[in-house]
Amino acid sequence: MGLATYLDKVRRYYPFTFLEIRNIMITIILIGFMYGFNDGRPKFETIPYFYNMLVSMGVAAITVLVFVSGQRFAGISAGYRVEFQMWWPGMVVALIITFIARGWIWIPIAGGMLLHHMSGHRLGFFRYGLNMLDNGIIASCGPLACVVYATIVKQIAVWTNLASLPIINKMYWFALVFAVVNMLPIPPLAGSKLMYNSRAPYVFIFAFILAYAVMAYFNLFSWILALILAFVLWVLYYIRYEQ
Amino acid sequence: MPAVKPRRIEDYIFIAFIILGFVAALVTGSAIMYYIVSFLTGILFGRILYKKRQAIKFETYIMVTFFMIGFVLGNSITGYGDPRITIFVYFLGIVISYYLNAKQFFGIVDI
Repeated sequence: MGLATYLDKVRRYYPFTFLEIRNIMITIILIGFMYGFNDGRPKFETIPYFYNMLVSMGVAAITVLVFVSGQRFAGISAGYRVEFQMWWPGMVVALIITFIARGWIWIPIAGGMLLHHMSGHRLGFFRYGLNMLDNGIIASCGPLACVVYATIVKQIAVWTNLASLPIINKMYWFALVFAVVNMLPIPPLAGSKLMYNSRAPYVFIFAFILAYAVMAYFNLFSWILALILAFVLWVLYYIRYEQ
Repeated sequence: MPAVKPRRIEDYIFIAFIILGFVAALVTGSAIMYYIVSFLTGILFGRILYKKRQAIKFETYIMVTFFMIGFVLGNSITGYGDPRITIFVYFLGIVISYYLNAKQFFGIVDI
């Protein structure tokens, strides 16, 4: 597919429906609320608290949009229209956990997605109809987009000497935690779609994201090391469970 | 003589929900949080009741009722808030959630 064709498809099929916009906005507000619920101060101060809440919602908004866009761009390139689906029960459970834990635990879940088969744009593709492999790959593009976004944010901050800013750390860590949580194999999260197709690719991609996040926690920022670690884990998994 | 029905795991689900409600009440730190958690739990159970409305089982009612019993029991130890308000807010959550689900506010596709 040429670039012009792809851009034309993006122009036509990227825009969100009214229901999607509503659901994405609710998701952003709820996740931002959970993230900013506990600002870490020993005493409640109105202005810093609401400033922190606003910043958290902004951070959540960017990350959710990156996540949804990653899935959408991947879907369009494969001839599908991706529809964002909010996971209401999961969101309510996450809110309950946040309240009970007084904000020390927050679970940023995005929700699910639906693929719409675009008959004309799927002509010529092998496996013309909807299939689990495409579903899994497109779903996992959301968390992977979050990892790429987190890396770009960190890298730009390092180049411009802004890495010590709290907001940069907030953006970076939120995106990584968001990617890891959404790769968990809980339906309808993105990880479940890939795992239901095939466990081996799921193990590789999840291990990559998790390894990158864990290494970043220890100030080791490397995709290559994360890929090597993911490959090793994938081989171990294959020998232990699949062989 | 009728045969004795063997016990199933579902017969003991009420114990799990009493414990769940009890623990949730114990770790909730203030009256406001207590009401909010109660309301949100009501919202969750309202959705479950709506989803299972075609073939609702006795276990569903057990789940909804015994969670609340555990929650109120937990509250009697911590002493936050008024149990009557908690029960009212809980059932308000169920009714609101059931109504919104019936109006398909949460979307048509069930995930």
